[in-house]
Amino acid sequence: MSVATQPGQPSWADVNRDVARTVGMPGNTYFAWMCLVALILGCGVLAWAYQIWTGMGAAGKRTPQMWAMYITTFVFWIGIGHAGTLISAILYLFRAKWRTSIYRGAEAMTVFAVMTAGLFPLIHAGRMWFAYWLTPYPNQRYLWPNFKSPLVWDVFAISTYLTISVVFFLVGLVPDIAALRDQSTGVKKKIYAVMSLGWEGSDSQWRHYRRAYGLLASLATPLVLSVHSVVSFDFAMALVPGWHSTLFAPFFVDGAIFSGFAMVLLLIIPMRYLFNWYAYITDKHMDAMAKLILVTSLVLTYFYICEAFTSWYSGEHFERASLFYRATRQYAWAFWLQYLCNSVVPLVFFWRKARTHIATLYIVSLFVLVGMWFERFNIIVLGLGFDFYPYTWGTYYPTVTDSTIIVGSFAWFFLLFLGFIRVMPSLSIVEVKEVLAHPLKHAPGGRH
Amino acid sequence: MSEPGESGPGPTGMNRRAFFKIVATSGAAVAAAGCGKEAEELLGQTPTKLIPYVVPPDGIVPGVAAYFSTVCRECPSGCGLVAKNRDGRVIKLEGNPDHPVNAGALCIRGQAQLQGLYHPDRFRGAQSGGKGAAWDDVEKQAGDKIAALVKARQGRRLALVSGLETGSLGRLMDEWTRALGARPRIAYEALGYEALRAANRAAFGRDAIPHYAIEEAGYLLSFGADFLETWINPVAYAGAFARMHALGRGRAGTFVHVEPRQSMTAANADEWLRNAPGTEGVLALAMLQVILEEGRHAKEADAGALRAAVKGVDVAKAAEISGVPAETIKRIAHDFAQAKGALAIGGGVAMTGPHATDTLIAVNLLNSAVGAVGKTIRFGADAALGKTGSYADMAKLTQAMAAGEIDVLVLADVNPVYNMPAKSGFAEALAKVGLVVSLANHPTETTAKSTVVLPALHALESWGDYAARDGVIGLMQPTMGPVTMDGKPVDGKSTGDILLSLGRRALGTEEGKGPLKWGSFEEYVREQWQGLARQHGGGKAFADFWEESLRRGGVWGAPATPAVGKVDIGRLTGEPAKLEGDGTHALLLYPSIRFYDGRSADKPWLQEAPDVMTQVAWDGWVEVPVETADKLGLGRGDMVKLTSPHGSIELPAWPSKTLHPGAVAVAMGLGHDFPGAFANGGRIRTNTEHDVFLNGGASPLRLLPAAPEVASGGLPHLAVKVSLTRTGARRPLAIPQATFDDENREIAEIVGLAAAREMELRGKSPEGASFPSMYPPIKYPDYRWGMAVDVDACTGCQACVVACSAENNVPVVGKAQVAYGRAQQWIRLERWEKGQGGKTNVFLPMFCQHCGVAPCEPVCPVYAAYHTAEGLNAQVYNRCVGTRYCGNNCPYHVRRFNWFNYTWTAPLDQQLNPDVAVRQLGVMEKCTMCIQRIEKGKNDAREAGRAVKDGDIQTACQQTCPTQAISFGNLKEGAARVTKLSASPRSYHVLQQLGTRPAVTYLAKVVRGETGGHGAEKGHKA
Repeated sequence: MSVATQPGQPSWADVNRDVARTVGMPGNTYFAWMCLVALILGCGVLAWAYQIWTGMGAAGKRTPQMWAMYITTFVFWIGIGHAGTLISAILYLFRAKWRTSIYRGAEAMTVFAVMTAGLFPLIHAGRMWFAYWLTPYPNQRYLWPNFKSPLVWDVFAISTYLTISVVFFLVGLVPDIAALRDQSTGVKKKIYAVMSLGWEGSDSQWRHYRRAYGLLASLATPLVLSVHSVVSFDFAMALVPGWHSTLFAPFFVDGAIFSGFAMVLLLIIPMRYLFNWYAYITDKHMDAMAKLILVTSLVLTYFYICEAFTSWYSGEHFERASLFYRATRQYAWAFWLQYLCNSVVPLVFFWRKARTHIATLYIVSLFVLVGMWFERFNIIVLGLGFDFYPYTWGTYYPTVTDSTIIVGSFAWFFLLFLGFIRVMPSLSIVEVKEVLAHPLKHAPGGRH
Repeated sequence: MSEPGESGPGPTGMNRRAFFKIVATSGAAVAAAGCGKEAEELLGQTPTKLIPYVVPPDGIVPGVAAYFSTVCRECPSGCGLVAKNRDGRVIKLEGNPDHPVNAGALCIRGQAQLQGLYHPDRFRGAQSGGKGAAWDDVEKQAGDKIAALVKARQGRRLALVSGLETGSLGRLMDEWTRALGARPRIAYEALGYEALRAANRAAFGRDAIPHYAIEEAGYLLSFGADFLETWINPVAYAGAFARMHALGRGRAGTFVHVEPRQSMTAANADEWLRNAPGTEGVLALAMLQVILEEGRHAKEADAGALRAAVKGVDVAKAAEISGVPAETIKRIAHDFAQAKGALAIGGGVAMTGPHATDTLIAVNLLNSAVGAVGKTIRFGADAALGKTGSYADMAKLTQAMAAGEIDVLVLADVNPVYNMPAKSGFAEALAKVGLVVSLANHPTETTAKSTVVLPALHALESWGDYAARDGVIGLMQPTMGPVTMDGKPVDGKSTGDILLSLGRRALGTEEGKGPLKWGSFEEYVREQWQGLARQHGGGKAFADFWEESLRRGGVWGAPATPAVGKVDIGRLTGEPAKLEGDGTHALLLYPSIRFYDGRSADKPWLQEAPDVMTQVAWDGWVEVPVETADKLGLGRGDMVKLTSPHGSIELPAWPSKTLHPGAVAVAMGLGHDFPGAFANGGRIRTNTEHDVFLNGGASPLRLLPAAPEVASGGLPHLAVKVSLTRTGARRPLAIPQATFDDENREIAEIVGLAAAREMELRGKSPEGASFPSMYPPIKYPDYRWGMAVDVDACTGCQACVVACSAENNVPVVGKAQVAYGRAQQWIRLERWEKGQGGKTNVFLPMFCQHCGVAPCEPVCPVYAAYHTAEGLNAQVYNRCVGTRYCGNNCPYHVRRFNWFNYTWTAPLDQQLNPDVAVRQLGVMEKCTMCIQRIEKGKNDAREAGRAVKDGDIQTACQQTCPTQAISFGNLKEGAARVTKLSASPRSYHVLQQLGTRPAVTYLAKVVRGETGGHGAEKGHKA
């Protein structure tokens, strides 16, 4: 799969220009959007403040759903974060060249998704002001966290993932920022200068840069698998029927990649339109991502079948009843919506034209994101709703407070992302150039 | 601070002595509060706030609990009480273990009366016309008015109505009415048992309620008597029932209950006969007929008189009328006649129908036929309730009031405005009385309509005595000083003191002279006890006898057994009750175990403990037979209008599978109009409004006619037919139990009687045989605390739920939160429908199981949930971050999360147990097995230089249980009761297959008529 040596392609100079113009002074529309997003975020922050003041009762949690939408959305965002690293690290190691034009955006999405997800353990904790107790820090009371608890594993998994992702992201940015530095003036130039870490583009720098990048990619690769496996242990290690399953780690990882690609599409499609990057992000990219969505959807369907089969084949009343009630009682619509969105709708990508049809791609991506959010919702809210003890079975209802916080988390994510695309190169200048025709070889008179 | 040695008040408004007193008593509090503003505020308080006594009496040591015996006056049963006084405040009530009636147990209402003592709506001082007034002015106003009557020799225009007072207070009141020439006092009890007395008069020649020796009965046949809920003395009878009914020594008594509604008592019966409303008499006579026809009556029975009574009774016709098959009538009659120690009792709806007296006479004749009188029915030890006035007396008084014949009416702690049917016109007649004086401690419908209120102290703050039954005289003493409200003690006096001072003022006499010479009521009580000292003192000096009686809680003696007369009652007709009105359903109106006649409805603890049969908390409801509900399209919470010829009420529906299709049922006790601020929605949470609404529900008394039953003078509760209409509105009920079907998940287990007997012989299969563990057993060096709950003995009374809340500072959260699965009680009393057709009701108290392999522990990221070396599953509130992972992972869902900062409206906060932390918002909590009691037990044992003995430590739930269904102790001690019970063949662990190894073992309910052992009926349905 090569996009390199075709005629009518942008030159290296075009790349520099096309990327540099995205970081210019944005227009009013942009600021209007930023204001809207910030306003929604403000509502979310207020709702959170209200919840801290009033107590967790402000969110709709109850017995038996001691966890509900916060953990749902936490897992959702962690999942979103997976596609970015997959594209930037795993596909890098596999030398999948089509990744070059989308990986920067995907990587930014990863970092911001993890930053969003990381808020939720705080939002969720009854006494968030003591949440730091989950970290192992030396203290005179000799109190350590409980290393048996999957929540402590989460702390390690997510903080590791965030650290590696951020470092990987920043390192990848260095040559591009240097390019922007060279083109900019004033304060902007100073900031870019600091972030480009004195990049000059010398051969030795390129050699070190390549090694570091490869090394970080190798570090990040196992994390793609491990982080969501660890997050899945929050459920798999628990006793709750429908949670206590060895299936969960691969099931969650696959679902994460699935939803992550949907989110990449959701972000890349408008970005391509707004920045007029049709030359860099082509139908081939769309086709490749749609195929990945299709594959992960099929794998997910297989896991769904496994899940249901295991429940039935276990012969255990708790498991069977849990599945049966999830499919038939309150929120049964959410249960079936999950299958529709995740297993049925993506099948449209078997059709070649759908894989490059922008509206279809966009709508399917939305379906996938909704479906994956509800998958986590169904596991948590419905799984807890019909567990061992029939006395306490009950229905969770969202409140204004928790819904506002959830919506606010999306605003937080988009605020970060919108900010990013206007100050950083959201298309990798270096890597895009790598796959373009070399100006010295193919275009006499071209500039370096 | 002031200079050393200076005794005047310092800059903070207190002197040096007071300062040290406070520091000494509240050192911990000050330390916790730090040196900031809080500490200053704390020090700025007057000493009376910390310890209500200016001069603390002997026995009150700050930080050490003192215990005072007294008598529970929440209902007329008269159980013995021990009040735990900590730093001058009563914080917990327990049954007096030495008391012959309740033997240490206490019911749900008895436990909850502390919320009456500390009720936020208590009167702070005298009231006139609904506004605060100076005590002296009010007393003068009342005294002058009475004096004028006395002077004019118009004593008949003065009336005194009190509750049932069997002791000194009753005698003082009678002396008071005599001295003032007033009308004879009426001892008014809304649940007056008039028909029972009339029937005993007719059948046995004794106007009394005898002692029913249920524990000695081999076969108990109850016609509607809710003896596990409110009937005469439910605590004593529940204990007796457990002893009679439990499988032990190969013997297990049988209990058959006849009632149109499945009450909690019916749910505990081995066989429940659902009869048509008002046909209990018909059934009793038919059974008597069968016994006589087949010559199965006892030799000593007067067969001739009995035959005359049942002349013309036809069993087939009785079967048709009552809806109970003739074969069943015959079978029950046979079993009853053959049983060793048979006993028939009547109560509830059977006791309050239009022919209640005839019905109860028929029940009495059944007893005569099997020779129960003198054996299981013992006159002599007559219950206090046999000494009430009658409803007819009240009706007469109402007429007199309406006719303007009463000028002054004194109401001592009674609430007839609520308790009399609306149709009786009492409230209207009250307006025609010149001066209505209420002696009460909290606002009621009656005090709201009274001219003046003189606050009477709560029974726990007063002297007195009360005889639960003849020969058992409980002595009451103040267990604390008057409750401090708004910074000062309530301005009140005990009822006796008010009457003495009012009477003297009316007579114009002085202390020490005249007919009401006693300086205080305490003096009067002491004088009365001089006589008892001569009788029971055994020659001891009075001071010693008094001291001893105070410690013991009273004197108990054996009364003489009087002869029971044989009375020819002639022929009983055996007519079913005729109900007034052309409605479709008979209205069954029953007293509630939680609210009794309604007097207990102002206690949030009781409102929050769900009714055990319907599991409805807060609010009232009407039980509608499922057939009617389907026809009218009524679901739970759909509003129904009940209309009788006398009025109508609206209530949310609760469709019932078990209720007789021709009846609807409404509990008494709700539908108040408490005028207090708390009743109108107090704030319990700090941050958001909260629906603590004590006036929910509707009173069915508004549907009743006012005419008393002719034969007894009682108020017929079963009197009208009502029609039902759906209003279209909805008021969702707060029902924490999602389903009554446990899907055979090893939650509630039952075992057939035969199988249980066999298992007792075979013994138990070794622990863990069916679920072996891969891990080595957990080692506990000294103790492993555990519990055993005999589900067979649990009657579902919920006393444990409230006892636990009182002991462990469990907050009340209100209707909306209970409905949303956020009830905070550490114990929940579940009802499960088990066995064939779900006919067996199993009551299961569920609380933290203190699992050996607890699922909550490994998931906690900060070790807030951890396992102690004594096997307790501890929760460290300070360490809890509130991830709630433990709450998810607990398969029993017994962990409670503090969704809000729950608060206690003052002065309810004075009841808080200082030994137990009040939990902050955002932390998890749950049953601790009363760890504070465990620590105290261990400390006491250490001080005595010995190990903890079985029985040293009692948890609050265990302590109060009337049937001793709960045992607690060290599972490592082989001889401990808990260890023995845990090894019983009937024992099982809830959700055993999960391998959590709980420290709480349940013993399966023994069910007559079921086959197979527990665990035998597997085969799950999905």
